[in-house]
Amino acid sequence: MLFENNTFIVLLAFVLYITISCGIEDNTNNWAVLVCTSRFWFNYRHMANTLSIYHTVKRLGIPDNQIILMLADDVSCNARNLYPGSIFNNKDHNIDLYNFDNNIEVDYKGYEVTVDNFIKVLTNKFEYQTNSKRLLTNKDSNVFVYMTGHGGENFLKFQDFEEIVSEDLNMAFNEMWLKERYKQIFFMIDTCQANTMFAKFDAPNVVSIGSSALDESSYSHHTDMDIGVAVIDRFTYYVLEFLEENTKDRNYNGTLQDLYDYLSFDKVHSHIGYKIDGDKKLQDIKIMDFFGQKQQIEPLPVIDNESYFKDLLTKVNHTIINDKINELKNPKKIITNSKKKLINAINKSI
Amino acid sequence: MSLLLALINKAVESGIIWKILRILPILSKLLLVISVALIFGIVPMDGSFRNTYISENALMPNQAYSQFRETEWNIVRGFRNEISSLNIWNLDVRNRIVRNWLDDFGLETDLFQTDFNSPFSNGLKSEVLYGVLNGQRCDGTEAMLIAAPWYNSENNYNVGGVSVAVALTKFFTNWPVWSKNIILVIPETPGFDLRAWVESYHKDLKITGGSIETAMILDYAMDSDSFDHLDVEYIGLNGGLPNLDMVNTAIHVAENEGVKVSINGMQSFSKPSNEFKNRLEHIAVGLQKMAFAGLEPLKGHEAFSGWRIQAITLKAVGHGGNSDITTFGRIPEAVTRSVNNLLEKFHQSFFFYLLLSPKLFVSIANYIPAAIILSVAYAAMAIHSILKTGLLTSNDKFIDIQSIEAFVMYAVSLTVSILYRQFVALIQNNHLSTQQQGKFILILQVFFVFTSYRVYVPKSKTKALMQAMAFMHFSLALTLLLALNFGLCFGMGVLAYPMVLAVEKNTSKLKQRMFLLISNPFVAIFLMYSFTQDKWSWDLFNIMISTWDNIRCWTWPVVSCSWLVSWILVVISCNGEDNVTDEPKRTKED
Repeated sequence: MLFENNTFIVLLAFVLYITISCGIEDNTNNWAVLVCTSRFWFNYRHMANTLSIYHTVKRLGIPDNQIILMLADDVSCNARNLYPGSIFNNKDHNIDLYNFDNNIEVDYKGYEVTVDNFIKVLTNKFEYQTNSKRLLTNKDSNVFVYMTGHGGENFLKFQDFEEIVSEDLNMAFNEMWLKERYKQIFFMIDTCQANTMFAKFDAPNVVSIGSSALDESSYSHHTDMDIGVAVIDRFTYYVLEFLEENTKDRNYNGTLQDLYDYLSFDKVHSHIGYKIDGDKKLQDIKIMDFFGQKQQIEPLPVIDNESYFKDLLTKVNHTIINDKINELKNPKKIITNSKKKLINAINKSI
Repeated sequence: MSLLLALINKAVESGIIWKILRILPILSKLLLVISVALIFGIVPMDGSFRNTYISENALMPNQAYSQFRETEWNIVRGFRNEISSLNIWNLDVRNRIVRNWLDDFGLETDLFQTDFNSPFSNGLKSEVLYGVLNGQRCDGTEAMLIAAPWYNSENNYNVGGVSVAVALTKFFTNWPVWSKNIILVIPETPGFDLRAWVESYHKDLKITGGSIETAMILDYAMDSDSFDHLDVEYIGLNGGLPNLDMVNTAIHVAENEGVKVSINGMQSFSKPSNEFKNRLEHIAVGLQKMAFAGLEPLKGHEAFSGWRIQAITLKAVGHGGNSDITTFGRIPEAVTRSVNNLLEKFHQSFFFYLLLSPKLFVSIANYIPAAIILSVAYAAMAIHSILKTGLLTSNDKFIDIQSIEAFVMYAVSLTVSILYRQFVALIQNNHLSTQQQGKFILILQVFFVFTSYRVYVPKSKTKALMQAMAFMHFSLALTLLLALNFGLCFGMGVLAYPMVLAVEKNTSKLKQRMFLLISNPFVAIFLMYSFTQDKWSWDLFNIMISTWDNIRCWTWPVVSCSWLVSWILVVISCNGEDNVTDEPKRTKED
């Protein structure tokens, strides 16, 4: 009897939970994982790719502590660099990616960039790690995963030493879903035969865009003849161009379809591809869902807020403030409109 | 394995094997023809070669601007005027003046004294100036080397080469991009003294700059402001070739600068390389250079063979052309910039190849069968001789006085061959000129061919056994050599083939002796070498021994330990009497 009761309650809770969680439309927070997997001087462009994306993501509002930046090498300090301490993504040397805003936070660098660490970041399986190096997402997070490096059919090389295969990545995403670590993932990859990396993905709510089809190479955009290396890849170059042109503020309403259409074969010189989960279409997904940071704001259950803060400004009385804080902490009247509160209430009742 | 056994059984039962064994001499000749046809017929044909390409990702030739241009033009001219006027001074004065310049650029410099004591180089004393430019931000474990000898291989004053090398070094000091040290070496000649410096660098040199990855020898032995085309020499000693990527990078860079490029001194450039004849010539010259490396005048890059240093010689050819002297400087600049991008070493690419034109190559898999077939041709003759002994088919004891005689003769000829160097050294002490010594050695060979039958005449079994051992020895030697020094292996195999014709039945005595004479290693190499050099080179044997002593060129020991042994055995065996009956035939009738 007891068992039956429990089952019933659990079932009820589950049904309630499903109906409620489907009702939430917007994510509440945005995260980004940006990975450059290749070392060595001649892969300068991969670091430039990743840093360019990093700056764009930051510009659009994701704070540094919600970006995991993995750089497998540090070309700015390479002896071969004609401009020590700088990385450029264009031969006009307009933006120094390394000194831009004097603000760069590399979370994993050099030999720390391994398949193991990358998977651990995604699935949060660390034993000891500082919070700034963790991907602390929840079920309302939208995660943007960007990878660049040298790859092939179904794999991407890490540091010329090991490789991640598409199944690994798919399993990591599935595990994240089971752990309620994301709401949506936007996976972007710029490597040779990139589309093979996500061709077999079956994790829910994952949208992927890759730079080249099977048996196709991804090409670099141009070479800086002073530095003597190619400085950026075509795919990333045009992704950045698109984002620079369109996402001037956070009110941009474009969808992934616009981005996909923009990256034509004429520009990228390879056939870009995408994979989307279920019956959804690229038109359904807004770009700013992944780039625009949304603050976690919940309405406070206080009536007549404005007059209260006006009072507060005119006369500062600590006892009143303390009282008010107590009132906030232990509200007498619960507004059940908030879905969050409802879930809490249900949880408590269970 | 059982399938193979079944096949062999079937072959024996059906009698094919006996037929094959009977036609072995014909088969051997056929294999020789196939081998030669493969190299000179199939390999240059469309489809068996490929276009060269840069296989090492890190190299990125020509991805950076070459800056050794107009700004440096006056600097080069200034150095050239100075160096041109230094011509009247002795080596030590020249070296000290240039050393002062290098010190001013901020290089660590030193002078290295070479001193030879080999009986074949008459105590050559020389001085090598060198300096190390420590890269500003490099870890100092690797180095790129630029060398410019005062006198080039043709003994011309290398005024352009030295001035470009010095100006380029000065130019390099202004660049902060070096991940490897840069070493400048100025020896008197590109020959033994440069080699002595390289040997010392790897042992006890005072100033070093890490392991040398690449070496470029600059040869611009003229006063002219411009040159016609660039010649790239790359074939090192003992069959050692630089990594194909290094040669490719140099050719790629030079063509990008608008300079015509030739290889191995061939005057045909990469544009009209579609002709079969052109490719054939490139193969022939390439093989000849590989076989005679070290014997021909040393260009400079040979000095670096054996230390895994990718070395090439860049030689400006022709007065007054479309390319000026700074263009000649931009080529080593761009190659250095490119090699600078390298990590650790040349990872991929080819070490065994033949170039059919500056931009076409054949990999080892396509041409090595020719050498294998050639060594099989000799092995076939060895088997034929073993059958002639009758040891396999009759019930005679293997060890009797005749076979012991054969083994003793083998040991004797081996000893004589190995001691030949000492023998030549003995002649050398008798105040003969090098030319006279060479002539004396050649006369000795003729003497041996025509008089040896008075000393010793082997019996028929001894004769067959000696021939078997001679051909087997040679076949094994060729097999050992074929991957290491394809040119020498192929050349030896073809030139020694008259030995096989000499042992045939029904050959007249005179014809036999002529075959033996032209297959003599000294005579054959002398004739071939004189033919390629277009003059009688009587001092060849002195060069062979002195290159072995001084720069470790294997040609002498290889020839004397393989070809000479077999040849002596064959000559002595040819003195013997023929057996009247045909052994295999008789056994079949049994």
